[in-house]
Amino acid sequence: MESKGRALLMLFLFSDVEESDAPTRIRVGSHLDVPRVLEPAGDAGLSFIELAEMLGPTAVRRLALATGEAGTVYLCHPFLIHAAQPHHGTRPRFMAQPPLYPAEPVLLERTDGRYSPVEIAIRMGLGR
Amino acid sequence: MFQLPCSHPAPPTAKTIILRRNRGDSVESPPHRRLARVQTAPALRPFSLAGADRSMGQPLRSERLENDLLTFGNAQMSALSDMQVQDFIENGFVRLDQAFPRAPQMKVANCCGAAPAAIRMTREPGASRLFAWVIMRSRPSGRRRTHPCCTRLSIGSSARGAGFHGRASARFRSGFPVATNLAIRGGTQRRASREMTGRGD
Repeated sequence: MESKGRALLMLFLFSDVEESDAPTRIRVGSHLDVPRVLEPAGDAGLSFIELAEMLGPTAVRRLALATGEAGTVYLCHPFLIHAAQPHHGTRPRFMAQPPLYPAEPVLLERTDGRYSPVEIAIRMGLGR
Repeated sequence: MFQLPCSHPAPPTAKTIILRRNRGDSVESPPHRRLARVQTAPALRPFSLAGADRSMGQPLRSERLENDLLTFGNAQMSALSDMQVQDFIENGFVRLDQAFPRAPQMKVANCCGAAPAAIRMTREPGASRLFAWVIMRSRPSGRRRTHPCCTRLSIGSSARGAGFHGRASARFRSGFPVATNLAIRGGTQRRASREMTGRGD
């Protein structure tokens, strides 16, 4: 739940990416579903496989494609469900996904109420 | 307020990067350190990727400043609008167009006048140009000889064999047989020989 290893998922597009160029698929709003799945697991968390098996209900979420011109950056919530797909175009796609470490732990209960957008979304997913 | 990478401040010098990379190293750096130094230097050209171009696969560390700016690397930050923050919270992502600039089109052409797709799309100096350089340098020389539009030209000289890009050689690229080209150009036997071997002007 604290997303210790990644503050944001960032997709840097180094080449023009169109729908046929294997853009990253994004399930819009799925980051609101993941906290409810992760919460029972506590600090131990879940493995990727375990988590993936429990995310079936998120399939109803709308699909978005991370397309754009070179120079586009997608800032994504660390819980956002995303996936690659086969390339159907003729041009190679260049992109990077550098991890961004959190500057401070994700806290879901703050006394001062100053939650980051990442924390706000997790709290929304938990119904808080 | 939530912040995002937008552009790069004054690009650090090569010396700066190398010093940073080598901080704590012994006099004789281990091989992987030396490799890092070699890889880092070309990325110092003015190419802004908000620090990502210099990460070389290493994780970026963010820092939350007193004014609530989120930073990582030496990236310069600008603020997301409230609407973008709201989109991020509700949809889980926000798209930032032109978060880093693209450079003018590179003029790199293949022997047939067509730029390889990989190079066509890399318009930035810096990391992209480095990539293009690798492509050009790593292209096996045998490919020129086997490429359809160069088969008849079978050039030994690297300068001419790399492309025959001049206007005078346009007919060669158009697919005319060599003999026809020579006739059109009206060249002497000596000149024709020069062209066939790729030497001369």
